[in-house]
Amino acid sequence: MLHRVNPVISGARLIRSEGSRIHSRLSSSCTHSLHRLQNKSPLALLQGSSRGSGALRGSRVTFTRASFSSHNGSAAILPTEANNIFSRDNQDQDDSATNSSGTAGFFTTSSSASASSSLAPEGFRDYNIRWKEVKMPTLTGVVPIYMDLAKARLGALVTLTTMSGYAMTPAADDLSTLFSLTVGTALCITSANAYNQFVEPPYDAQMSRTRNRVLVRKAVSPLHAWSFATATGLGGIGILATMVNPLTAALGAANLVLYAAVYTPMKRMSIVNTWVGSVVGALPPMMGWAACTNSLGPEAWLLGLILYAWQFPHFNSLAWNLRADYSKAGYRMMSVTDPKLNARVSLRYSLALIPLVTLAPYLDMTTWWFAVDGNIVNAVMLAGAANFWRKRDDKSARQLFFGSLIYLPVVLALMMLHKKVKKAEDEAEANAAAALTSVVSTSSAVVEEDDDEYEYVDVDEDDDEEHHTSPTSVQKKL
Amino acid sequence: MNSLRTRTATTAIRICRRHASSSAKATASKAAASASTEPLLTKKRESLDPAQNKDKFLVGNPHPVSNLRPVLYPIPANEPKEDRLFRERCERVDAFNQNFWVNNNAMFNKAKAEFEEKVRATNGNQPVTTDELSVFYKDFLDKAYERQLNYNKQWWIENIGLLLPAAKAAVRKWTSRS
Repeated sequence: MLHRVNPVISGARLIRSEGSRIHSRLSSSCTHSLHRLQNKSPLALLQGSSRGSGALRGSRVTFTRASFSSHNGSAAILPTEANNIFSRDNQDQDDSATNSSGTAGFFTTSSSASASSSLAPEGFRDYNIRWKEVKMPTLTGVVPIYMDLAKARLGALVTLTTMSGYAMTPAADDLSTLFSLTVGTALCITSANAYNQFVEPPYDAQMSRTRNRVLVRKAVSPLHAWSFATATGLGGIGILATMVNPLTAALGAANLVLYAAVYTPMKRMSIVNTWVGSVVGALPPMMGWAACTNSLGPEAWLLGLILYAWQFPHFNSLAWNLRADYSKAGYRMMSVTDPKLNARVSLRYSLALIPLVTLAPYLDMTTWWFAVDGNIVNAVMLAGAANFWRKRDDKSARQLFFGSLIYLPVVLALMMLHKKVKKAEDEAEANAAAALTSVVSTSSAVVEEDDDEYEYVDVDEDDDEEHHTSPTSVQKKL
Repeated sequence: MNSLRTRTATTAIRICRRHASSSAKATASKAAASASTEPLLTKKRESLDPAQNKDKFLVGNPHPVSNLRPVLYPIPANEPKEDRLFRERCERVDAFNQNFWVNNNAMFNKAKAEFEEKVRATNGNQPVTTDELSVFYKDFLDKAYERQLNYNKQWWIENIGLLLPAAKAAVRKWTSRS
């Protein structure tokens, strides 16, 4: 069945005219069972309405005609033919003739609604609404809202990866820099998450994982959330620029822009968003490294690559169980468009973690024990990824996801545990940095070493086995 | 031992009967109330009356199809013209969103039901597997691509475009209060 191709209609008009038809049909059947709407699934609702009102069948409206043509005996199993309800061609051919609704009501509700439901906003007049007042948040009440906007738990984990990046630097001794780095990064992450939530309320409302977010519940106004995001973003970048170094601030700003302005819109455009999002996850430890050394050496890139590779098994397994929600809400994720690719990519990057972890001692970041420990943990995650690749079911996806959540802190902790040290004092620093949250006494702060001593001691420290067993056994030979 | 078992059994049966009768009464009362078009108000499902709370910011429970929450913006007495225009603009954006999502979700649910019917027709009424559903999800997502992209672009424009008017309204509110 051929349909003439329509000229491009503006998005809003197009959507409006589509929606008005289905909604008027829905609402007419809905008035018969107002109270039942809350108990019935939308599916049953649709089935009921299609049985109830014959208006949906064989109507002039192109939207419904095409959807029922398959009922009338076409051979299509899937709505893949040109005359399906989703193709562009089907958008309202007589749009100009019938779209006379103008700017007043989009919906022609034929319902005999009661006085209170007519006060409901447009489009919401077909069900029983329970209204609650939402007051402006108080000074104390706003704190949990800000924590939600910031996705505080996720942000804390990302900040920990930044701190571990700092801890892996050879001279990770400046606590004030570490503190500024932590605060600055936390603010940048907060800003990125808040911008993301500002942009996505109608999409978040569709998915069960996110439908209780602050802006979906309308607990604060969008302006408030945007102001919070801007203030924390400027504050975070400012702190990084003034109290750490400009390189770290630039990385933080780039990460913020990448997440809020590239990744977020890309989620709806192409599956490449996953790769962009992995870069977003890879930047924080590089920021940590740059905070101390004011440069991005190969070690920083290795840290970034490890985080980058880790994102894939982490995200792909999460996205697997959200396929239905992603499909409905229009997110373009591999788990929807190409489930096999989804599993394959997570397996591929789990494999890539093996050479990456092995590279760390090669770059003198850690001792060779890390290659042993780290690859044991890698093997466990690889088993999970292989399982997911083979089975591709909800259970294996969940296992891989939780495995990835455990993998990251374990590997970062092992990296810090096996951090390669040059001197006894450096070793004390390494242990102190590995503690991360404990308060380190200033007596362990190290005097800057000369280059000569640095190289000399390096030659002597070939016996790596002694290091992790007893720190005090390392002798300084001069 | 046996007497204990029979006693608990009879108590259980009594509780079940009581529960059944009360739930029957509840459904009967619901059925009776459904004949009228008045909103159902029970103790658990209390709702503010929007007619009497026009000066408050009211949010309702999500729409069953679109999952979006209805919002009633406060209408103060002697509302200045710019505030009214801003409020109406917010309401138009809300209606735009509601329109799109009711449409989209209804299409999704209908298409999914049809797909499941077809699959069940071919495999003898067995439940549809997730692998088969994956085919549907991909198909729906691909078909909806342009529609979603248009909506997303429009939504970004509207959402960001509301920021400056919202800021102006907030400034007006603070300056009028002080």
